[in-house]
Amino acid sequence: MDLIKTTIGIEKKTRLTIAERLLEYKTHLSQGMSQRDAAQETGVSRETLLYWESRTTKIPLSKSTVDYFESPEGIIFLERLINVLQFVMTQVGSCGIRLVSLVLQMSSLDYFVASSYETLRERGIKMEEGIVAFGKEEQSLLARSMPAKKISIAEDETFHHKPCLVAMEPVSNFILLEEYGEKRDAKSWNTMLGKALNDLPVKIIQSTSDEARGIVNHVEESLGAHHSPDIFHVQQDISKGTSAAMAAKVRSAQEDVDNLAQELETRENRGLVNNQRGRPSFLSTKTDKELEYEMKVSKEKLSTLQSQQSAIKMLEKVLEHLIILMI
Amino acid sequence: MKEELIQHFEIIEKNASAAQLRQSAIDKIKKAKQVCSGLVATIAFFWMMVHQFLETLSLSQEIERIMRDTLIPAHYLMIVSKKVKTAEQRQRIYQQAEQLLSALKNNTTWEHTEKSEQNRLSRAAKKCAQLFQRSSSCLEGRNGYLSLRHHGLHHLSTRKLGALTAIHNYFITQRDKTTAAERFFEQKPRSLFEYLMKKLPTVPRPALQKAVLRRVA
Repeated sequence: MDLIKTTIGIEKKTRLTIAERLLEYKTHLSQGMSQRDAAQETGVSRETLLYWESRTTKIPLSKSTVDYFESPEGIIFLERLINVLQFVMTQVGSCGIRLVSLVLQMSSLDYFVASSYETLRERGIKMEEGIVAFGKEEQSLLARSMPAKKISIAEDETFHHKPCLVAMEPVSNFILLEEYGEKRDAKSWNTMLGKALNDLPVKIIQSTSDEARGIVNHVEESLGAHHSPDIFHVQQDISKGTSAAMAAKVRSAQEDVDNLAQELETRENRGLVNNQRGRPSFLSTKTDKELEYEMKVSKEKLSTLQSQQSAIKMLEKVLEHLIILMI
Repeated sequence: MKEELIQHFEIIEKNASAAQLRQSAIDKIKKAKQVCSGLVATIAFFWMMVHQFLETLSLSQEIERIMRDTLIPAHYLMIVSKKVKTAEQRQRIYQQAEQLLSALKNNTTWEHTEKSEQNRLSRAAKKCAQLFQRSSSCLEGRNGYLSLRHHGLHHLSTRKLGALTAIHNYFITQRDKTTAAERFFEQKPRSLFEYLMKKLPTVPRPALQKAVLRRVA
């Protein structure tokens, strides 16, 4: 394409065309042609060619660098590089536009390409639109020659400003649906998944998800598929219900034992059981016997809790293995 | 299986009650326990599907037995071995799978089966093993990723979300260099980046004076 339309509707030559014409003009000059004849041969006015040439002289970098990035090869490379930078940093990775701009400035590439926030933002929007369009085009293209198959899916919801319904084919990890919806009830699931699977020759035989009523109803009533409970949530519930609570109990019992042990040790070192007259008490008023009895009870409590904790942990592991190796 | 699961849950419940855990903690255990029947139904569904699938292959009795007892479990263990947390566990489960497969070398029926047929059966067994989907953890991971992106941008627009989905499906590759779309559609999609290269407008020139002034400042 030789011409591009600018935002204000003017048609301009592309950078590649300019570089090619300039190269052609310079070749004619090197063959001994006059500027006027070389310009006529190139098909571009002499003033324009001189302006294009003078533009490169303003760049304060070495001549070889400027010559490369202003040559047709250099421009093709530059285009790829800028697209790669923006695609990888802002689409694949999670950098912001300002970081792309910073890379361009620090590498002095901003002498050759626009690096302002707005330019990059506009380009980012076009890039995102292109990616979305590619996804849609490619899905309908590939679906036409895809062998019909029965699939299992995994479904879940996530919440940002709206509920986001997500469905994935777990064997290939292909995302069938990832869209914001107003609700997460069975009706929304039916509509949105139905739309996503419209052109795909697949039949859903099984869906794995948590026990959310909307999803379960949608799977059992609309898809007519088997609903498999999600073991991830079973494990999470058991661990949430027991691990933290048991750990807190054990910690508190251990603290009791430690405090009592410390007090007994202090008493032994000082050789004092009773408080000195007129001094604030730093030891409890309990007798040694009482303290020793408390210590015994606390230790028993701690060991009971520890054995319960290890029993639950072991059972969690057994359950995990049972579930993993179920078949 | 159901009895065994319920028995384990009961012991956990008993220990939790003895430790006088809060009611909310005990409720969580009860909630997890309710899923037992669903888990057992899933296993029944799995074997029913395997049975149907094996019937379509019209295999001899001995080969069908090999499929059920050796090939499907071995392939399932191989799938599981990639998902477990530690390298030690991964290795242990993978070894179990290999042990199952190596036992086939002593099986005369299997040894007399042609190599191409063995490969076909292996592929079929892998398909069967993939039928058992016990977790939606792939989605939990995805949700976590979306949550991070949402946090960074404060707002995920519909366009951005669509772009992230397409990148996941058509650009991100696994260790075997295949994209999710390639595995799902069983054919290679076009290159997303090359498509963008064709669609995007040329990179604009800078306002050169600004770039020079920026350096001076």
